Amino acid sequence: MTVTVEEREIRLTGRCCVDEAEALLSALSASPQSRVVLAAERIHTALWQVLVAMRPTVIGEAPDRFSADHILPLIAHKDEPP
Amino acid sequence: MDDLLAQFVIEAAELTQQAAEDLLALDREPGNRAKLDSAFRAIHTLKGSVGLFDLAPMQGALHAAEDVLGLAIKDNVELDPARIDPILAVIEWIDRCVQHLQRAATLPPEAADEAAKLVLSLASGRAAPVASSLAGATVPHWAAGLFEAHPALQRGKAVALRYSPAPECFFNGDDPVSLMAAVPDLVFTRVSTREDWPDPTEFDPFRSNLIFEAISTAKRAEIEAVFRLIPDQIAIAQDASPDPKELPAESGETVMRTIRVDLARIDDIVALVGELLTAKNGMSALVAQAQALEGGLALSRNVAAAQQDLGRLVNQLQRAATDVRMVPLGDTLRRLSRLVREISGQTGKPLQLDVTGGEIEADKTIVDGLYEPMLHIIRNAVDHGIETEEQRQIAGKPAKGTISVDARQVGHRIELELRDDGRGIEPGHIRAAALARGLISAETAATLGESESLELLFTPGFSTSETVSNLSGRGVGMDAVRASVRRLGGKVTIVSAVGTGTTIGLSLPTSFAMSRVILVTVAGEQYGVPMDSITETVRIPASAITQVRSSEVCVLRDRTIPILRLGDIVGSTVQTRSEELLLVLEIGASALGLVVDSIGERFETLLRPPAGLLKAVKGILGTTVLGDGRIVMVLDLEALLA
Repeated sequence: MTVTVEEREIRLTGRCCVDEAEALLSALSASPQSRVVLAAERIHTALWQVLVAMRPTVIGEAPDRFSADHILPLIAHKDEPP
Repeated sequence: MDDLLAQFVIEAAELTQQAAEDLLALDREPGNRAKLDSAFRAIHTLKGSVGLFDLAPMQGALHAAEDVLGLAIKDNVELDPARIDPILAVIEWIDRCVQHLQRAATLPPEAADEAAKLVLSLASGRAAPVASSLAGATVPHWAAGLFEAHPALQRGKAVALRYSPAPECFFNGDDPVSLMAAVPDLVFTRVSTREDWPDPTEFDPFRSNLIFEAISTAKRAEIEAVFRLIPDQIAIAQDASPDPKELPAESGETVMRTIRVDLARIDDIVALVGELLTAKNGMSALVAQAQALEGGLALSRNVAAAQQDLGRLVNQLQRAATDVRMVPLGDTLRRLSRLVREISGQTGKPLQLDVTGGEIEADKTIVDGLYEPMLHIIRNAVDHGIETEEQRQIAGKPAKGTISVDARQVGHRIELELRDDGRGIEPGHIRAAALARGLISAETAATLGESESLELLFTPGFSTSETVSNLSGRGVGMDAVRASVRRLGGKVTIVSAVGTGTTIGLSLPTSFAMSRVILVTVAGEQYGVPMDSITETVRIPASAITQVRSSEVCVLRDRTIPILRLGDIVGSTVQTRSEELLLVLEIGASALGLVVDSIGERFETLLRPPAGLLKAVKGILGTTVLGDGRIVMVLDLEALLA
């Protein structure tokens, strides 16, 4: 399990594959106030899309330079500048 | 880019420049036959090189331009100045094509139409306005927008890409973000969505909705490699208006342990080393001065020791500077194999090329300069030497004709042999052809031996080809081969055996930097003579020289050789004396005696090509500075005696 749901926190760890996008989507839909902790080696585009669409509060580090520079800014919460 | 194409791009730039300069000179001076010949040769060579690639439009335009010049040469008339503009237009167009080739490795689609217009204009004698799309090839709208959004880039190095993953691409295993992360050298990225994000309840997490646009400074091929499995979802565009200054930098992108340096810069270093050598030799005078001082012996020894140390370092520096210019012959020999394949296709004669000695190194100018003469020799060999398949079978030879190119290093020279196993050259045919063309008289023809007859092949204007072929029969003959090899400081010889083939030998120095020169004196003036043209020096009694009509000859080792007096050649006639000093020179297959007053020291020197006023004087190979600072002209005997 690479998408772990705890109280008010969703952790992404290990290699997050395409099929886990659904788990992330339902976790965020159930608890939109949860913050998402990025601690994964790899995050599939499908999960990034969920984050970009839902724009939760995100902490932690993106697994690679490209997503850090170009995807994370799309998620940045309006209250919380990147 | 393919190695061969890269070579071609460099060579083509030089040839178009040569042709353009010659044509402009002809415009000022329509009667200048040398410029006409030179322009013709440049275009002819260019056409030959173009023939190696699938570039029919360029070939067609060049062929037509060559025809116009060739006709003027054949009819021995001045080129109508009205013809010059259309030919220049062809040259300019070729230049643009070459630039496009360099960028994209192909000709633009409009090239065929443009070539047809140029050919028409050559026929009508009016320059066609080619509204070239080559200069500003089109960039897709989206890419233009990206380049504008990121204008700070060096023009011409940027590649724009637009990656629109298919909505269902996740099911194919694609991961667009990680693909984008794999694109090298991104300098700008813009991520957008295909559609607005839907309400979370309707959000389909398995549908790709992102679009990526980016600019990278990597090579186009590297980017294509990342997206090779999904070519339908990626668009790539190169910034098509490169700043020409930036182009060479492309090859520097990969990490290489080499740099490209303008040859002129290296030549500057070589020239400076030459001056250093002279400055060092000047210290000999200091040694003598110190010696003459009272108690100056110790000082003179110290100066002499310092001079020796300096000399050693200068020699090392000189070798290092010369080495920089050394490149393997293989660069040029490799290009020949493609040429032979091409000729084989054109003539229908099966051919095989055997090459040895590609690892031998020589000065870059010599290696580059060898291509053109070797190209003509090989074309001649195939056109005139190698028989058709049927003829070879009748003669009991293998169906495949063989051309072998062997390079050997002998001391400071390269000996190249280009051998074909064709029908060989019948000396009688050569004599008959030379007679028919009025190059020799019937009496001369009767006296010529085998090797002297073959020498006739090198006479300007000699060509035994009855028909004008695409290959060699355009009058760029062996005389041009000999001229270009001689410019490189080399010699051409020919040996042929009827029925078994012809061998052309090229002997060239490995580098220009050092020449062995002997000083000769005539009428109180000193001149340098390159040692490589001298076979021996002899003293003969004046009575051994006999007058035959208007010229002098003498018999030397059972051979009658003509005698010339250097004094007469340089315009200061010297009285004959009882014993004459002769330099015996071998030029081609003939020998010649040159009378001088005395001979002096022999030395190795860096020969500088003549500059300034001397450049216009025929017969001067260059100048050299003696140890005492005097400047001596080194004579180009072959040019003086021609």
